[in-house]
Amino acid sequence: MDELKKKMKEFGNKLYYSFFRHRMDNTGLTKSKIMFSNVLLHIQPVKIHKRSVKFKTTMGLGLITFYLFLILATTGILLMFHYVPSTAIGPDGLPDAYSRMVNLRSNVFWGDFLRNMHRWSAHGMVAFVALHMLRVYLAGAHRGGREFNWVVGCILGLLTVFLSYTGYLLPWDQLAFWGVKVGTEIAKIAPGGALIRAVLLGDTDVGAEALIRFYVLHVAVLPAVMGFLIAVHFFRIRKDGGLARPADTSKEKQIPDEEFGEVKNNSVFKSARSYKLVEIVKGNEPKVNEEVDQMMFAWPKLIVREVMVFAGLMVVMSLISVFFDAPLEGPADPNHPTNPAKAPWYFLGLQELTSYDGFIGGVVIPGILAGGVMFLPYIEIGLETFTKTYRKNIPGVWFARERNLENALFIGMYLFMLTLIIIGVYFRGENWAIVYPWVEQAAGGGH
Amino acid sequence: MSEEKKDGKSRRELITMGSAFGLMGLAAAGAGGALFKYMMPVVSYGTPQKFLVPVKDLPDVGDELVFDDMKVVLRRISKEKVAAISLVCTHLGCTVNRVETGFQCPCHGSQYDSDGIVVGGPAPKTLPWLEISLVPGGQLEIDTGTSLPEGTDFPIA
Amino acid sequence: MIKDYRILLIIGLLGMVFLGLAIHKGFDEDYIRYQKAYYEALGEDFPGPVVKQVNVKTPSSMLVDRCQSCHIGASNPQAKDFEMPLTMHPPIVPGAEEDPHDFNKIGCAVCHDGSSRDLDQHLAHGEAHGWIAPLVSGKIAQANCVRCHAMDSGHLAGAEQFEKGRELFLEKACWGCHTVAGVSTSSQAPELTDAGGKFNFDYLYESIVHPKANDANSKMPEFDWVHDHETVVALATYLKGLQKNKLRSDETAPIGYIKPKPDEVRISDASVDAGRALFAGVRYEGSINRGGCVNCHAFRNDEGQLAGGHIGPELTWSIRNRGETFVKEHIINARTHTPDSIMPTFKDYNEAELDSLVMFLSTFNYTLSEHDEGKKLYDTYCLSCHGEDLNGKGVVSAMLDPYPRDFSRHQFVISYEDRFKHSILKGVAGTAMPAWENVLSEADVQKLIDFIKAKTLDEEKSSFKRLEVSLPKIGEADRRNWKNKGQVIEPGNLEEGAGAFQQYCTSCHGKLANGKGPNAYNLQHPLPRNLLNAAFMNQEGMTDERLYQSILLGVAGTPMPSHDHLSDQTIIDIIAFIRANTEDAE
Repeated sequence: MDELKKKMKEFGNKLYYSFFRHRMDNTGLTKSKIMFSNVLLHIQPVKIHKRSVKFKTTMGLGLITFYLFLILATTGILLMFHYVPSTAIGPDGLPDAYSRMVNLRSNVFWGDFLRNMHRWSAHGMVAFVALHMLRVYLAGAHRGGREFNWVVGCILGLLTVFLSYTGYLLPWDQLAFWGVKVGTEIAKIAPGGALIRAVLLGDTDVGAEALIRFYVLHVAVLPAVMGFLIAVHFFRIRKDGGLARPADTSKEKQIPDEEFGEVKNNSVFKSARSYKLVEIVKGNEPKVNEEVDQMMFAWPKLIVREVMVFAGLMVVMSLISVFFDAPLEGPADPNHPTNPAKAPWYFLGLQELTSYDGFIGGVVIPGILAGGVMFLPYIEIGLETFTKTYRKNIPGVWFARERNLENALFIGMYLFMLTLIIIGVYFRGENWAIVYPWVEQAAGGGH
Repeated sequence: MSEEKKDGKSRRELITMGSAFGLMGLAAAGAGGALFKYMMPVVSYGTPQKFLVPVKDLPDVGDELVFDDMKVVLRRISKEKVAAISLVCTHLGCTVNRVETGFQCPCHGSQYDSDGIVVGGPAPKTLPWLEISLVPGGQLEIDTGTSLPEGTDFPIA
Repeated sequence: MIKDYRILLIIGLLGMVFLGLAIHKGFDEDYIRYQKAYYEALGEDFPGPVVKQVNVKTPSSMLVDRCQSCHIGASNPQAKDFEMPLTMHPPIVPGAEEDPHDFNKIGCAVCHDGSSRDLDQHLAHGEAHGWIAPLVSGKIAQANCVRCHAMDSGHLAGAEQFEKGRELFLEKACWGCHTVAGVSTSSQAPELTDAGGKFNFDYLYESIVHPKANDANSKMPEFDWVHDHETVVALATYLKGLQKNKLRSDETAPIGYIKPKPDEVRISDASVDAGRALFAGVRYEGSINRGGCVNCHAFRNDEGQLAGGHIGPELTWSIRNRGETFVKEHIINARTHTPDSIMPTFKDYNEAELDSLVMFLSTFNYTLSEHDEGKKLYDTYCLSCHGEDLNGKGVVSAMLDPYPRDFSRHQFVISYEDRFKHSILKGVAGTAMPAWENVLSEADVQKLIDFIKAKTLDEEKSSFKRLEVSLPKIGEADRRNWKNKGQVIEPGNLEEGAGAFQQYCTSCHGKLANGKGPNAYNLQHPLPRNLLNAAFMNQEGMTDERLYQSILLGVAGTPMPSHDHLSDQTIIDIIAFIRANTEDAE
């Protein structure tokens, strides 16, 4: 009997160690091993600064954006099972792509739920990208060696908008058709825009060719590029030494012992680090020999926090998806424009601008804004180098006093775009005339 | 700080963590189940089992009419009687060809006589004969889902 | 850490709740509820929810029809007394022993439209915003018989409302303006050959009752009969049935199909009765229906009783005023005399039909006695166009172009009183004003003029005085050229005139000089003149001097302002330009 028990235990141990390469105790060694022996966890450092898990440091905005991307990928793949990018019209007068949308909301179990989740997550991702960018700027985290990652982030932001926009066409309803039509008309104004438009649409107008192109971009090309750039984005955060933060001072409190786990041998595990290799890599590696050690193990605090954000996000998204249906207008009809024809909301600011002046509003201002924002850190560096406007940059500090002017300008730009978008969504009625939402609800589009 | 207290705290922590992750696992399982149902078809867009043939389109006595898409051959046995034989091989479902001696399957060489009785090859059963019914408007309805013994025919009027 | 786990636990609980909600919503479908109720009413066990789908095969593709997932008892006689949506469909073909429509084969949406893939009542009935084909229920569904049955003419049992609408389309003279392939050819109004394919029933109904509701620029008149709900419903049913996209071609039309006989019987012998039938828009001795004048034009019988529509002018005196040739030409193409008339062209009429109409119109001979007062004269002859208040807004004025004259403006009456007599007796060419010399005596005309003056002028208003100017003579010095005094007037220069016209006149008279400038419709009544109206511009009395006066001083009592900032030379040039536009037609 005992023999068998022993063998069983041995077999169990072998089984366990084939999955996990570490024990399950509370020692620092185990906490380190968990992090770097797991393929999903090893992307994150073993030890993080204690600020990094504080809510006010990031508000979880970047993480939420990434999770929305994961939700979108999952629901998107599921939706692909029921979708055909075809405009061929059946005898019930419905284009194939559109009748698949009707199927989703009728005979497919959870079809509407998943479509709602995909739709609202897409809009949410655009919004959270913007919020994430605002956070990074206001905390000054785009500087101090992180300038290029800011550019990568900006490209990711543009990709997000473009992904959302290509997906906007796929339901092939009036909203989709005219939203995309208006958006591509704006492209015409830009120099060379007509060529890009032709390549995107594959025809002189939005039609069957445009649908298949938008589909391929939406489900294959853009997600792949996006996935790669997300990896670059994360990789550089790691290489830049984690989240941007000001230097530690001796005033900081010591992290309580319990956060470090049980320490078997103080001399080895409390002060020494498990990742010596990093220290010989050039760059902004975590500092050693600080007066007070502010680094804590990522496991389990960081992981639990991340799971918390994910689970919370899922709860919110499913709540929204249960109660709010994604819009689906009548099937696309090129002969009967909706009035007004509105682009998706994130382009409505642009559309509002173009309604004043096509070239200035559609090319000059958005060009200056997009280019200016993308290369903002370099513009700042340039100004500091060539003029005598040097300011001390403290990355990781919210609303640093030295950066008041920059922050005010950046917030001003956000408010400007937000105002335009709100006007476009709620205050523009038929024939793009001003309506007041409390008098008469502005006609559809934009969502 | 006594050992007891510390233990109690860590146990409470363990239970809370366990139930939290357990709940989330349950939710994930529920979502998985729902997604299985999401993939499960509830309607069929396939070819319908039954199809119509107008009486005026029937072949002459002794002749046959082959419906390729429905995989059925319609035979005019006499002036008043017709019969329908399925062209789906009883072996592995290939469509058999009409040849002089009867029917022959191109896939594995099963051979049937002109009444669909197996005369060679791996086919286990006779080709099914199908039910024909008369519907208003002078049309015959052939039900490809039925399987009647060979030699079952139906009156036209 | 325990705090984190607790938050996680709460989130997990919430997640379970919302997941349960989402899954419950997936099962909470209308059709499942209805199916349960159905089996309960039948007294049978519920066998589990089923999406009952009919794949209606059509020549091109397949129509997916899931309506009977809710309307589950559609073909079950046991469900006859059940409530909607479980009840049995009432018989379609009246009197048929066994209804030939098998819902298991053709589904429901072929006849009733809606969104046949949807399983939610609101969505399935096509009530979602922007849906192309909302549900057509009851008799309106007859519009869709045409999808399988050939319905151009002939009779199909059960499609009575559609056929009534088909008759009404001819009777109410819709055919005069609207083209329906195989029925009518006209370019006056939008083609309706695919009206049912393009528009839903409510839109069609609304467009008949309030033509401007869906198109603010619509010129379609509002007819008297639009308040008769049944008529409009029948007509809209017919229009809804005009669809190009059919499920079957004529050759493969199923049982119950009655091949229409191509009968194109026309009137060959002219007679008053035939004319009356044409005028009323009813069939005459088996001929096809090609009329309906009465829908727009009114007439008076011998007792003076008025009947008919108020879209076009009254026809009681048409033959006496205009003469037979004019009337015939006017029927064939009204634009030969009145360039802006909205009257449809009836170019298909043969000689016998035209003669019949003229013969019938000639039977009107109502005339007032000589002793009648001016008011009575005005009310009889003038009221329908010039209006009760003399303001040119009579009942038929809305569709007249040029508008009838507004006599309520004293400036006009005082300034142009001398022209009234001529205009009444000889008519105003190129407008709806006919010559009354065969009906009215000069004494009658004087009574009318006195009536107008008495009604419009009082002592104070009579003091209005219009300036007198004369046409400058060629070779004399320009009286109005303040910059270069002594400049000599030259004959009108066409190019200079065109330039000046573009500069000073187009905002009202339009770039084409057709009176449809961008400001034209803001001016209200009367509209700017169409200066291309050759008949009007070349009539007697339309002298250069009159044009000069009108341009320089404006037209009193109308929106035409004075242009005293223009030099005489410029006005002469503009006149030359205006004249050149209408010369060719002469």
